[in-house]
Amino acid sequence: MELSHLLHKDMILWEEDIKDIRELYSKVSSMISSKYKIPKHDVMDAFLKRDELGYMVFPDKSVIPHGRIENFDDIIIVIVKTTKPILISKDYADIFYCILTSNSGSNRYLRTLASFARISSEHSENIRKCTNSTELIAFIDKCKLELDNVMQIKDIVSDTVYTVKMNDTIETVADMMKKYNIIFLPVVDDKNHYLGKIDVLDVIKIIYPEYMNLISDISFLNNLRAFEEFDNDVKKTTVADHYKKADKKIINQNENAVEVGYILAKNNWHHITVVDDDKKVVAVLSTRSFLNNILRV
Amino acid sequence: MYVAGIIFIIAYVFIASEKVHKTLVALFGASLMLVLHVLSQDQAFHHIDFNVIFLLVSMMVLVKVVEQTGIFEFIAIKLAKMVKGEPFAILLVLFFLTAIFSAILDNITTVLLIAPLSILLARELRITPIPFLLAQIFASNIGGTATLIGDPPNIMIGSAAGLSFMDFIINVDPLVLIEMPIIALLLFLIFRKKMTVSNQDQARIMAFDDKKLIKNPKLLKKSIWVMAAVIVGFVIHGFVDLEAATIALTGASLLIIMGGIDPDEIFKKVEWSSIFFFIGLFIMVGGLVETGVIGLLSGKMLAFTQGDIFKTAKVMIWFSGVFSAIVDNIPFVATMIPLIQDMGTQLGTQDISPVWWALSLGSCLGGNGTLIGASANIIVVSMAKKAGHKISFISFLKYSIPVFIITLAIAYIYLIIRYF
Repeated sequence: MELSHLLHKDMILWEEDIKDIRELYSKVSSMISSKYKIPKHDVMDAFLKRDELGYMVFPDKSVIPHGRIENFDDIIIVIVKTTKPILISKDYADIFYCILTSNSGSNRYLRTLASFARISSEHSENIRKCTNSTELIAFIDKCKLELDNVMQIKDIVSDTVYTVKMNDTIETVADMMKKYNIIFLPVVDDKNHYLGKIDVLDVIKIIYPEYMNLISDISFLNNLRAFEEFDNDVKKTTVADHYKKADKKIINQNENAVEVGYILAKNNWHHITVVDDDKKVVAVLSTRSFLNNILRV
Repeated sequence: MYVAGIIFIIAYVFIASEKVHKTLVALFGASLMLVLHVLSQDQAFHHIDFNVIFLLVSMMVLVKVVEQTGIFEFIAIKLAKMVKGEPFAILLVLFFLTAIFSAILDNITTVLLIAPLSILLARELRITPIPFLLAQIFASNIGGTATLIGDPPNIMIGSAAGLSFMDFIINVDPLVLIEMPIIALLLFLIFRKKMTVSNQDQARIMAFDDKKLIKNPKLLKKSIWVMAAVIVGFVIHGFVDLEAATIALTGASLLIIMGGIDPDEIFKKVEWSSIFFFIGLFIMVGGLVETGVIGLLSGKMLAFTQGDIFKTAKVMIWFSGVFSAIVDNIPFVATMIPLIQDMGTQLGTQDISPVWWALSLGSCLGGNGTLIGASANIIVVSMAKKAGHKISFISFLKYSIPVFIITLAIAYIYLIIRYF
């Protein structure tokens, strides 16, 4: 089954004048209710309930709102493009891929989400060139987005990946971690091959090096020179001095997405670097993104 | 005889190379000797010196309990404050403190307690920690020489030769008391100009709140009582006909009970790997004894020294010093013990105690010879490297060779004056 097979012209609103997200959910709920005979308030409640958890708006200003309802075994999709961007999860979006599904998320449902994520990252311009629902369905049909394949890791990870090189200073690492709100960075060579990783603890350990672990208690210190001189120290030291080489926390992007959760849980890992067949870094998957993008998607 | 000799030499090479964990080498070597019928299991177990084993385990338990109170770190920081953060004075107090601690605790525990604090103090004072660390290495090896329990070779020698805690105090401590100020003077000449700090940095040391280092005052009080009793026990054990291991074992058990310590937790902290290293080594050396290798070697040694105790002791102090500077002194001493015992038997009524003291002084002080001369040296140097201060093998020799020659030369002169 392909994604386009789940789409219907009467379930697409293109260039619709909608003022806020509540109005959008209301219109979407009405469409689903009248076509599939599901009480409108059930559909509306499902979307509003999930909305409380927030969504990630993609860089092309598209978003995938979704709702789950009890005793329902189907996937219904409504696509809405608004004339002006509207506020959702503290961000603005104008393309909404709204999905209604059952409480027990199926692999096909996850593939549907992944397919829309792929459309958002790879085909955004073409989507926006569509002028009506017919053109939109035709384009998505052309993309041949298969929904019954095993979902792979590459389907659920974001394309944005931050990496550092061996000669980058720890100051750069610390700045990147702060700026992008991340606690871990893969270390790569000039060709983006994976060499190891550096995490926030490696940065903090510059203040508290290994010998300090041997002191049973440092409460006797009112201050610490290394703490005061951190800003200078991080300029003088590089990733090469502190990264963990031959780190085993890597996985191929073609591996099964279900397996990655098992690997994270089994090893108590909070993140894993996703690489291609050539060991080039393609993404970083964290437990948080596993929760957000798969379990509580 | 040949099988025992070959197994022992191969094991020795592996232990010296440090390519395989020394405990595994010792245990495997011991197992081979048993499997190949070099000696029977009963004979092997008979050669394990349980006085050494129990003394080591008991002292490890005692130290690990007392360590929890924070007293050792408290004393170090208190002394650094007492000398008002003046860097060379800190070097000196830590030098003497390390020697005292090493005489009571084992050298590795001592440097693991003092060296991290030294690096921290140096960082706060904005000076290199290398002088502090080198001073502690030298002090740990000299201080360990001072008592029966200060260094494993002394424990082994004391047990085998029937030397008491007080025998070590009487025979070795005068020498240690001469050597410590001389090495302190040497350190002064080498490092005094390299250690200038600002008033402000000294004030940072004065701001340390050392009282916070005492973590369990109740346990500390009990520990002080028990440790004092154990030391008194060591002093009198020769007179009351009790082995040092009995004193230490009683003290350790008493402190566990009085302190309400979980035995499982404290036994986890015992360095079982070292204990099994000793066991394996005792069995291997037992193989050499049972097959006559030791008898043959002691005969050759007697022929070389013509049965002259004076000449034997003179050779022994330098030979064991140089040997211990290059390889682990524990297997060396384990091998020399039955050899000296056999020589004693062959010499009849002659007093061979100067040879025992020569072995003790040479093997303990020899640890200062090179970076690999003692485990404590390796630990401190690796700690310094991780803190960004590399001490190479050659740069270590620049400082260690003078210390090695001075301490052994003084010990040599002391030996001659004292016993001949």
